[in-house]
Amino acid sequence: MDESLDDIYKYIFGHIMTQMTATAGIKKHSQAAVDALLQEFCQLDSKSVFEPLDASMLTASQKQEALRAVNLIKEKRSGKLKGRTCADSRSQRSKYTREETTSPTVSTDALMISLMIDATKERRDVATADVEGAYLHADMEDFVLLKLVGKAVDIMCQVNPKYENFLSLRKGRRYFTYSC
Amino acid sequence: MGFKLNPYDLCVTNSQIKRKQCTVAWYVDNNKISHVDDTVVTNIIEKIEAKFGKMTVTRGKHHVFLGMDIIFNDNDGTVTILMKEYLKEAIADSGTDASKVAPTPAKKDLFTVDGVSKQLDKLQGETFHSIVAKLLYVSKRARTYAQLAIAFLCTRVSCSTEQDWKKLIRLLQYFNGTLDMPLILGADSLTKSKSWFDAAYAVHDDMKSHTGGATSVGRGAIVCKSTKHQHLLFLYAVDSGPFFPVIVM
Repeated sequence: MDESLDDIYKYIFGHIMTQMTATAGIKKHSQAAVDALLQEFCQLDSKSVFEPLDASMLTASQKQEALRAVNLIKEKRSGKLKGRTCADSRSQRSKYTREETTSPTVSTDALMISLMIDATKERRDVATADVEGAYLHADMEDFVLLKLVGKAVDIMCQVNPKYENFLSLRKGRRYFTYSC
Repeated sequence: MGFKLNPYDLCVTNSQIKRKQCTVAWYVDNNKISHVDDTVVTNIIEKIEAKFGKMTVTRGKHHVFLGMDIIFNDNDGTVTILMKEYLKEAIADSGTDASKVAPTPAKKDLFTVDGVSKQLDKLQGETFHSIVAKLLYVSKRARTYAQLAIAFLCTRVSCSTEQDWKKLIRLLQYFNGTLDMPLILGADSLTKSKSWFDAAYAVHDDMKSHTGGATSVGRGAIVCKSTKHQHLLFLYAVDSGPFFPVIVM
């Protein structure tokens, strides 16, 4: 068992840990990881997911409560890198109902029955389609503040130079705040 | 577009178009659209794209949907489902010798728990948990017949031992030898289904029973269940089989 422990470590880091932070991703994949984040940020920008804010207009508590944007790099099965951005786990609002935190997913049983009907009854024509950035289409009524820090700030400014005007400095680090 | 939500699954919607049924099912951002007429399918896609923007669309007989390789066989009216990549990943994650294969998913001592078997260390325990979770996903789709072994391993993720690890390796060796074996679904009649179910009384170490069953409409099982957890308490030594519909259905 002990002899195979090294192999187990190797497989875990080689296969299971395919999702990593942007910093770790850039260190590992360099430009390819930057390109993946660039693509993700382009999508956020083009779909007008957020509005940049002037940090000087925010109160101290708003600045403190602003959620940190977590940028991740995911290595897909195909070997392609995908950038992901989400908010950190601190909540700005408590008590979400179950309906607000679940995603619409067809049940496995219904899917299997549907596939079988497609194949058997009428020999139907089937298409599968993937909506790009599905979550970005949802309207959000809440006022949510997010803060982008680190290398991601440079990448975001590269996507759209207008964000340069909203950059702020805190403890010598550049960051920018936006509302979703 | 005249679609009506299916009352049994709110992520499936149907509409009668050109006197034939059009079905759309979705899993968050992944959609499956089907109709006998391909121009209707194209029209639906265009309407969705008009609202949500350009989609990545796959047409034809071969699809990759929710990790499943789905192939529609027009010659015999069946659908073939494979999840080879998931299984390969699980085998690689475990470090199983790729040349070893097993003839069955589990040995007869599957439910036997060795109380003195050494607990897995934290790292290997997490690997065990991760692989079992991956196999659970596969077992609900393309490898329904392996649900018995996986259902048992699922009960061991929080206290996995070297004995459980061996059982997992055995299962992976079985998958290793049957990587290309697909699940094939077809129907003789859509109005007649057959179900089989049974239970084994008090077979688990904690004296719980195990229940399993399958439903088919001709070829392959479209719904399969295998579970240790029976929510009813059996006070007498009776066959727990008849309770299956209550638990499963």
